[in-house]
Amino acid sequence: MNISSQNIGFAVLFLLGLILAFSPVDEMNVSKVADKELLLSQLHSQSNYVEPEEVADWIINKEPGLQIVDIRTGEDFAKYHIPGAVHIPLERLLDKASLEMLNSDGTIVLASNGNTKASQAWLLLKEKGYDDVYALHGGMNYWVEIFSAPKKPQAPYTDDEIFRYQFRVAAGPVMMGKQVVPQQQTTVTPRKTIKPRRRAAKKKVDEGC
Amino acid sequence: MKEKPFWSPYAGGIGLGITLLLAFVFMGRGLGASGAMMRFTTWVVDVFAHDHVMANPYFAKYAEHPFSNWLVFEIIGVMIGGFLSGMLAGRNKWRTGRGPNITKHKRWLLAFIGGAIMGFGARLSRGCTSGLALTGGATLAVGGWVFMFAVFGAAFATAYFVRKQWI
Amino acid sequence: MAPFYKYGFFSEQTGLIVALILGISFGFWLERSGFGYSRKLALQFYFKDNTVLYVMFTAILVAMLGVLFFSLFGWLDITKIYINPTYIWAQLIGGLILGVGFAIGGYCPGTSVVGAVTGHIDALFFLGGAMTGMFVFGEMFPSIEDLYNWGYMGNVRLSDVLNVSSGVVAFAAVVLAIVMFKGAEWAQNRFGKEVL
Repeated sequence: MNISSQNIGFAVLFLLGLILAFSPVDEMNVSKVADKELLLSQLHSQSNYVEPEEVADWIINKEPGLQIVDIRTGEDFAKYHIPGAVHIPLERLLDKASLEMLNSDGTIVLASNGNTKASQAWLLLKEKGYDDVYALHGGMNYWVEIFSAPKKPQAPYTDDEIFRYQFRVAAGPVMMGKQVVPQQQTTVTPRKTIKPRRRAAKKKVDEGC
Repeated sequence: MKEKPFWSPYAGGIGLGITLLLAFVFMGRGLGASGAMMRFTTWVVDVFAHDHVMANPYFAKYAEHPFSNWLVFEIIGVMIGGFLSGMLAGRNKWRTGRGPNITKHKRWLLAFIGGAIMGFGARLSRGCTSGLALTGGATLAVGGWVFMFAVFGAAFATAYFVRKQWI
Repeated sequence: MAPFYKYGFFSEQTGLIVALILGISFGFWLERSGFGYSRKLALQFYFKDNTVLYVMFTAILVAMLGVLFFSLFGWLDITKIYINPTYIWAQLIGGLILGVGFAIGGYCPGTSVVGAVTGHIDALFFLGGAMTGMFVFGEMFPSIEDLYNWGYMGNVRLSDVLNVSSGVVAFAAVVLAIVMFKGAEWAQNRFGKEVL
């Protein structure tokens, strides 16, 4: 190996590092403002939503960094809410105190009564630079519907439908905030139903090694 | 064909670094290896005991078909690339890498044991030398650097006890 | 604007072809550096052959400088790049375990694949062992889940923890690497160079 060419290489590396140390490289990073067109296309393709079963699965598995934000009124929140959810009404979503409560590193799931308000909140947070945000598909109304009294699928059902039903029955009591021995549903949980279906949700499976 | 010498480690490093950089530029993610193996392991277990895989939250996470995953395609590429390079340099032949003071069979046993320890460690730390140390190191992830120094520290400390195997 | 995939320039299917091509390049360079040879890798830990250190840190520096400069020029959106999540204690313990396995087994997962396709029988045994180890981990997972999630810090980078700009961290990494290169060279001369 040629020693001098090696030293030239080291000198180049050193110089490049030195340039970086004095360059505003982080100013480029903090412009986290999301690409508007990308947001619109995500809204259009509905990839801003996360399915209730998936959220239930995250809760059961104690997904690290998961934060569920309930944006309904205080009255609704007091009646029932997803276990572990924090309450931030939509009108106060962008207050300083509220933003401090939000977990900017983890996954945020926005829950409203239906879809509309959660999607609006989703857009606001995305524009604020929060990366891993989802709106709960169907909102709390749908959540209550599927977890408090899941409908048994009609006769010619597919495997997927029956798995989905079993999962809802099993996870239901916990998702409605009732106390149940936790072991029970972890063994019953049919994993097949909650396989991540979306590109965005795929991030949950480890992307690294 | 006579085996050709290895290229300079700096050339190899630059080549690997550019590959990794291209992975960031094209995919927004780094390279990896042990994730693909985990998928393959799960697939093998799945063939024999499907219900068992579904009941275990860790296996269930990896229980897609192995060919559907990005890392699996990457590892297939690694096999092709490694084979091509070995072929071009005349290095593809059956052999066992070992020091002069150990038998082939003992080396195989130690390779298996070392592999098992590494497989366990790789899953606990969510990555291996390529997926966490290399990728995480290049993105300056805290975990990647902590992991890298832990690996080198433990390996240097263990090396003394297995020196008969290598030198 | 890169990363191309995250900006929707190509589909997931095309991404798999990109994976294959990147993998070929990855495997090629690993083999070129001699990473299919377990003894060559293991001699690093006796300061007799510094290939692992040189290759690994050169690769990290090239990729790191590339990412940061591309982001500085506005070509690459660094916020869209996957940062490995940090679980500091799990990764520290996992790294220690993996290091022990590295010294005993002589390979790491990526290099064992290269070793296996170039005819190294010990690499095949290593691969079998690695899959067994992963299987054991999966079986034990319910009882070690707390350990697995120990020390979660989010997708943090060194610059967030040290509270300096990532340019400064990169510069420190370059200096550290050069010092290690020089130190390893010195150690190699002292402990006796052995080139495979």
